[in-house]
Amino acid sequence: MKIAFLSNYTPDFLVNALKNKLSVEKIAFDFYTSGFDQYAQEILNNDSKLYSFNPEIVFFSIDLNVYCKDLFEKLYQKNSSDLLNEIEQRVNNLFELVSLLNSKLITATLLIDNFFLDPVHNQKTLEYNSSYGTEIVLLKTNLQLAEFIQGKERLRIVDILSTVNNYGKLNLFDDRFFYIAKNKWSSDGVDKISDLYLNHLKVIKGIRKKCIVLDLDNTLWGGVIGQDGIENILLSNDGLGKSFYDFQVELLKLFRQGIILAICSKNSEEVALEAIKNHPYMILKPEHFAATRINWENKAQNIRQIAEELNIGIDSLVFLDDSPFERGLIKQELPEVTVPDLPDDPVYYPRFLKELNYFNVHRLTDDDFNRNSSYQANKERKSLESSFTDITSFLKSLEMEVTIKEIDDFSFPRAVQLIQKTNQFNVTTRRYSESEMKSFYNDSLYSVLELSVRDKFGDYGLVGIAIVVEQKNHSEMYIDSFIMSCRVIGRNVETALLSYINDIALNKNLKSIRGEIIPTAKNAPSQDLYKRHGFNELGDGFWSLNLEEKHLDCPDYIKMNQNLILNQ
Amino acid sequence: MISDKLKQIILKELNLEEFEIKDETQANEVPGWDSLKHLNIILAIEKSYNIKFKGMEIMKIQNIGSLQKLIDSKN
Repeated sequence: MKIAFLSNYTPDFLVNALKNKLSVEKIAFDFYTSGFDQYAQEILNNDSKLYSFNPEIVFFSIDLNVYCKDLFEKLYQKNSSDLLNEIEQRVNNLFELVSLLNSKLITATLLIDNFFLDPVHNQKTLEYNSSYGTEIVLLKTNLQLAEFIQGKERLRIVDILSTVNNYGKLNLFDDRFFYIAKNKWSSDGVDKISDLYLNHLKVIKGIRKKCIVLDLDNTLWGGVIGQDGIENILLSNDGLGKSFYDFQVELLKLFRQGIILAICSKNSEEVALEAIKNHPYMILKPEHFAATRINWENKAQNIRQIAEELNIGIDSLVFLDDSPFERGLIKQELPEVTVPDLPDDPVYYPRFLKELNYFNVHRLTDDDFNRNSSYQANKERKSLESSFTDITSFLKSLEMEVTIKEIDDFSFPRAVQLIQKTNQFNVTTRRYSESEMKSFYNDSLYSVLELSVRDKFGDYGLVGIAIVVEQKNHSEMYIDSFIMSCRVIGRNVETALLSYINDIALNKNLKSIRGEIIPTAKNAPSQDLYKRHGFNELGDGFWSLNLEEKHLDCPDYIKMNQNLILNQ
Repeated sequence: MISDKLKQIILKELNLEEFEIKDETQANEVPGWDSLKHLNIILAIEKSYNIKFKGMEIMKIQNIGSLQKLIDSKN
């Protein structure tokens, strides 16, 4: 990641802390920090070091207190609305700079700090009550920023203000360092703000956990269901039992954002399920859990099975269990699983969950909203599958429909997500960034194709991406990337996508299709893609299909909707 | 005398294996000890000794001997 940091204060403390955190996370980076208060010159000058560095990500960190220092000094000489007018003007100038930067770095993501106030109030009772308050000015200025980034795809806000509010100005600021070194953050402040920056970078990298595996006793409720019974466990909408209720509410919020929930508990299954179904304050119901393992077996074994059943990597799991013994076991047996330590006191569970930074996003996609209903549909498919003896009649019974088209602005975020996250059905595992994807999207020799699938149980949404390049001098279509979500593996929908690529290639009068397999530790399910479809092996991982000899057809049990580029 | 505790804090913050540190050693004689590192060292000392320096005290440190004296005066 090539990251630039522009600021109007000494950024070294924050940047150094951020570098250390990136190293711990094993994220490779290359940093450019502008000279002190040089951000405007860097942006205005076409030959600046900033532009020759050509960053993928730019932090734009302007401290409003410093930027509008002279205006804030005039407070009580000027009232809030005069102050606001002048600050609005200044902030608009700042936005013009950001717009210019945005137009010059046409693929970079710009992370813009929102604004906070120094603890300046010499009148703690005056704020919001008189026409001389500053908090109201801050609210409006932040609103102005939020409106400015509206609809601008590559601009994102870093909500510094919430971090400052959560941890407190008196903890996060160190006046000594402000006067000595023009850096106002204390060591705690540096830690908290660099954490926030790190979280934004992880979002851009597409680093997000997919599933929470939950224990039951003393985790989802207080007490032991097998001993205490359904009427005595601690779970209610009042008193200490409410902390478990609130914890479940927070889990349900994550569920709605597309995080998968699963249960792994040592219990008698019947007794535990009875409580989940019938306890009046159980927020999470059986249908919220995509997989359950309630038995007396070893939890490591159970968690391995859950990952297999859900078809997700074991490294995308977070395990929450109150028992230090069980956590220790999983840390040791399955080091890929993330195992945070739950607080000793359950009253802190809800806050603990909100402070976990494993599930951050900048935006929620349709796919995030639909993911959990599709896992539910999958459970139903599985029970249907077991009633068939041959796979073709099962696939027929699903009444599958696929839609294939070039990606558009609406599907772009999901396409990027698939490119960055898919491990198993991914023939070349090329992790393109958002900006690289955008450049393919704008290149006429490239087609980025999306595959959506639905069947009688529901909509899988966008589950496949192929990046194909027309190579005129070889008269061939090269498949740079071919990716499918693990949710549709085994449905033969990849054949529909290949058949579509076959048709585009024919339409462009190309003679062959060339595919490539780059084996990884995880992509075994996709390594025979070209072999299965009758491609000839060329060596070095390359495979070719001669279109004059062979045509790939879409299976007759898959209905293909193509609102086609073929006709254009 | 420079205590071993102080010496270790300084070496750790500067990522140095070993360096001869005496009372009269000044920051600019030690590799990597710039103004940014200076404040990091101050922070590390404050944390480790559970003390707090004044802004002026941070600015007035002449050499490592005076830093040691400052720490001792606060303990």
